[in-house]
Amino acid sequence: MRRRDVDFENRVSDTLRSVGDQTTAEPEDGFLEITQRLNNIERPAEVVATESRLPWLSAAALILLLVGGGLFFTIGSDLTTTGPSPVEQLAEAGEPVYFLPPADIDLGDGTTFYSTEPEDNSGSGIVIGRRIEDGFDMISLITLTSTEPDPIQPTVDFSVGDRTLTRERFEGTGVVSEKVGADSWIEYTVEDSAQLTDVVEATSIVGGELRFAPTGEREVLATISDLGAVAVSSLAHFRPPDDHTEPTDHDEPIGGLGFNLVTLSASQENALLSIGALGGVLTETTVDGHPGYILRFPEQSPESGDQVAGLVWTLPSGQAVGVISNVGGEAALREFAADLRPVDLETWVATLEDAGAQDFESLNAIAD
Amino acid sequence: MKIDEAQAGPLKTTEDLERLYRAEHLPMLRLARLITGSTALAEEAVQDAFISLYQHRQSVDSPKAYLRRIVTNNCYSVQRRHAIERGKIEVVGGRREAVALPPELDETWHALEVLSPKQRTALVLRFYEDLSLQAVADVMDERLGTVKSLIHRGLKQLQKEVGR
Repeated sequence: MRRRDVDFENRVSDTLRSVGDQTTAEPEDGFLEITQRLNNIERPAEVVATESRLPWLSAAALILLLVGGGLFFTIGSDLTTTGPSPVEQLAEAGEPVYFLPPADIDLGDGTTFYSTEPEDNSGSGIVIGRRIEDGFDMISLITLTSTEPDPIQPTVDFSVGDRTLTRERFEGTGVVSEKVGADSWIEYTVEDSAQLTDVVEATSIVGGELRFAPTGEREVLATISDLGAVAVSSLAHFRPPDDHTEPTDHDEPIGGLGFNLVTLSASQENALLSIGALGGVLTETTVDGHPGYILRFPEQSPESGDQVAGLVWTLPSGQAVGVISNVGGEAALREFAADLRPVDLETWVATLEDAGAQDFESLNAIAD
Repeated sequence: MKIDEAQAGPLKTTEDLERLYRAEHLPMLRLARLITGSTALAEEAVQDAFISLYQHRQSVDSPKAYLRRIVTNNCYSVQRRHAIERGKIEVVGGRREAVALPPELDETWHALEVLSPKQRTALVLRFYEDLSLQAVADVMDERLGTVKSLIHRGLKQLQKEVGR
């Protein structure tokens, strides 16, 4: 590691320690509040236990505990081999999770794909999993970043087909970066470097399905990266259904409006969180008569041609749509919103559902 | 008196909880403040963590490790909760409170705003708590590779911000 990096890490450490040292507290008041809250919540469990004067009941409880524990252990053992996939586990934990269509792409060796989107949009990106017997193994994380591959790390060129990638080496982990725009890279992170080729090859197939590959759309990704939006966890392409024959505004590129990212969520709250992850201030507004929010960045001049803005509004169906623009600001977004007709969105969702998508808690789409 | 992990043992009574609270409240508050950027949000995250610890005390082997993990998780949720309650999201990542710092450190402190919550958390656990990468992964319940990526990208992003 270079001296400059060590110095910067020290600077981060010094900053955190200095702020930490300036943080003080009076524990007495805080603990009083805790005891009051505990009293309101429940009677402490150990009091109940010690008040039991029936030894046989304790013995019965112990037997139940042992039997129950055995059952739990048995079920738990099953889960490790036949239980839900990591994605399903995330879904059970309340994470918005969905499969990208098609949900399963079989490379012949059993590699399959799925995608996750954490609530905080922290950029977990696409997760590639390999189906193993009755379960899944999460093997790679693919993220979009505006961070240039670290030239300090030992790097080597890494070729997959006609694609050349830059490989960084972290201890025990493989990270490969693929340049996809002027200031944009896709990072592939795998626990086992030996899997890199498989993973990168696999994304060629995913790329085709997800409209990853065409150059123009990669440039769209780069724009999103510039925005700092890392909520690119789903890369479903926003487009009219294949059987769509009537020309609509959607057949024209929307990029001219500077529009970048659509979030289609089951609730306005989720859409707000996705859009709000960019920062800025949301204020109430109406879009085409429907309640919504506009995202503004106070530090930007309204006259600025590259004004960034976001818009979230609720469709009559109850679904919420979020849009982010990096140029043209609010005016461009309103123009785009007027073009987006609810019926198109609903048809689009139905198409994806037919294609095998499992959960539309939060669908993001990129339009060009 | 600082409670050593080995001495702390399992929690049984509110007296045990109080001892742990006196020893760990401030370290946890500092951790939470560094992640959220706000003392008020940090207080909320830490108070909720102690409540949760006591409620789950019978299944917690290592109270301190549990606290660190739950405080970290609570930091995400209190930020989200406050953002939603306000109905207006004002920098979801948390606005950094003003602190008296030398200019260079002050710049770094404010630059932390631009990071995602997970990047910030990873940096705080690594460079403030001095945890190993694996320990950071354990606390955040993330894979080791993810944590390496979060820290690497977080540092790069910070460097970019302070270099502007």
